[in-house]
Amino acid sequence: MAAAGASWASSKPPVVIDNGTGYTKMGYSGNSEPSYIVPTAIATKDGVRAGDHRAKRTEMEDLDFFIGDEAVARSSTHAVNYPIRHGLIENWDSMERLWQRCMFDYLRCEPEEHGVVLTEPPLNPPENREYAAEVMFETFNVPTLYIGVQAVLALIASWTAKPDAEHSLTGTVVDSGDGVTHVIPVAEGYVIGSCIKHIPLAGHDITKFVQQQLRERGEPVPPEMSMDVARRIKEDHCYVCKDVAREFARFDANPGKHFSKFEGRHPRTRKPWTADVGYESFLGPELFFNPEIYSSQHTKPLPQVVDDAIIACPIDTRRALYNNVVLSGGSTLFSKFSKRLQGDVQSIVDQRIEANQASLAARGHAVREVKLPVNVVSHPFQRYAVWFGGSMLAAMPGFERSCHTKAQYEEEGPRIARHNAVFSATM
Amino acid sequence: MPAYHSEYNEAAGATLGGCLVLPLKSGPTGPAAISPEEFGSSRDLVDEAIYYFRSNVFFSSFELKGPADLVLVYLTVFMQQCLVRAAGDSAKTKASISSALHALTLTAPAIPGEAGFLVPGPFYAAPAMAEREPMRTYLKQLRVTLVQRLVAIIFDDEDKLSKWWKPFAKRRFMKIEVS
Repeated sequence: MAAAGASWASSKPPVVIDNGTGYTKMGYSGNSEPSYIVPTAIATKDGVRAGDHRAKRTEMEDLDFFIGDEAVARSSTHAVNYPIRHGLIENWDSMERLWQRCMFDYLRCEPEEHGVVLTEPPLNPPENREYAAEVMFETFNVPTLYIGVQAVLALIASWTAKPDAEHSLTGTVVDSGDGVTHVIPVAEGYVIGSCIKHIPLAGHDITKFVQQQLRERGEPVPPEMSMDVARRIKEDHCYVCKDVAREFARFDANPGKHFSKFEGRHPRTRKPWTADVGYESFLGPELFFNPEIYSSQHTKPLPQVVDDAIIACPIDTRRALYNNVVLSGGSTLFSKFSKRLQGDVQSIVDQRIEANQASLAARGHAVREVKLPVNVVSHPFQRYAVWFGGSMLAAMPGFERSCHTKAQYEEEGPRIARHNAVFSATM
Repeated sequence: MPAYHSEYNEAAGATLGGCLVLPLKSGPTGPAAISPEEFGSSRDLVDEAIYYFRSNVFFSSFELKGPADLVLVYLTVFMQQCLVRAAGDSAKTKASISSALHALTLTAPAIPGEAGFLVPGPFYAAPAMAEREPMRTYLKQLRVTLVQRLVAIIFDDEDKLSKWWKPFAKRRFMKIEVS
């Protein structure tokens, strides 16, 4: 058995599947990028429900569903279902079908031959882990299963940017995708659940802001393309500036260098059009640092939220949490994002230290020099950091010992999946 | 980062109704002296209002840090009013908009305590009797200076209101309605 286990590890790499609310990333462990990124959507034939006797029941009905981009494309003829909401799996039936297509059609692997690494959001109910284990071991017959917390995997992904000695499972993960931004403090591989903070602003809001600016200026973008164009402008032209007023002045002083053009073609008439790209290129990402630009409900800047999250944590973890702020997700990819976040959080921290020391001095105590460095880690794999962390984790020697095996499942049942060991490379 | 504040908040100078009176680079005569040589390339109070306008206009709250901030807030709201008039102008030519803005500065402006004062709310205390007319003259001087500098920058090559300035007419600094 041990020999079979060893040969499995070397010839059949584990499959890593990261199911997010918007997109599912899947691929083989050991790679630096997921092989397939598809929307987490499943399209089934409209109006067919179990128990509907009038519906024609054919054998092929079970197989008549599409996932991913094909599902979204068929939204007019099929009922499109999104099984994951707010990071949690809500429709297990759809999820099972989605995994089935992932394994057999996309990855084209035999599930019996590959260990599987799944991901889960922080504060995932343990019952969900049991259901996942049931599906994986019973339906797909996988040899081993590991369910990793997304924030911890993001921390592991950040190890590529650091020397071996500094690999740590303590840090603050700033995860910003399309829907929502999370600030998740992790101490020694365990998420500090009560200190997690959510910000309702993320990539989608920046896209909408850019779209709004284009519309207000009357740019000649065809309405059916406007969201798509706004997204491409966001991805290609947006950056984080250091100072908004100074950036406006720079645009005034040197318009040729800063204003740019975006060219496209009308989808039906094929006529070319050109739009100007201006202030939204730095005002868009500025949403994170000055949310008042776009939202009247949420006005707390991201650096303040990061500081609040860390201050809520146990006092002995704070130095390490400030020292290791890790970025993850597509919306953290803006140029100079990490530098600006680091500068702003550091100034909040420094101001508080100064105020504390002034009040201590006023009361006559001796004042020591205190330095609390804030360090924001940025690395080339940020976009799919969670998937990459899973891929790296599964490729580490000794990882198999942390997984749940089929044998354990058969002996003890699904409850073994409730606890997934925090894997540390030093074990 | 919070809204931008004036750099002159710590500067010494007389105040009229709470607003700091400092020399200006250029403009009509009034309570503020005109002395361009004092500045070189740094900004005076009116330049500051123009420089910070596009950034500050996104904020719905503003913390006053000194007497120069009162000038900044007033000029920001006035500049907002100018842009609203410029965007709403029917003729849309540079000549027509410039004359509309100039007309805006002709009448003596309202001071805190009077109906029609641009900035509602508790920001400005009503000035003492002796300071009322000087304050009115000072505000008028600031308004004329602002419009003079504004018409130099908000028009594009075709002498129309620049499309980069037009969207700012829709914004409302501190949610203050202007027309």
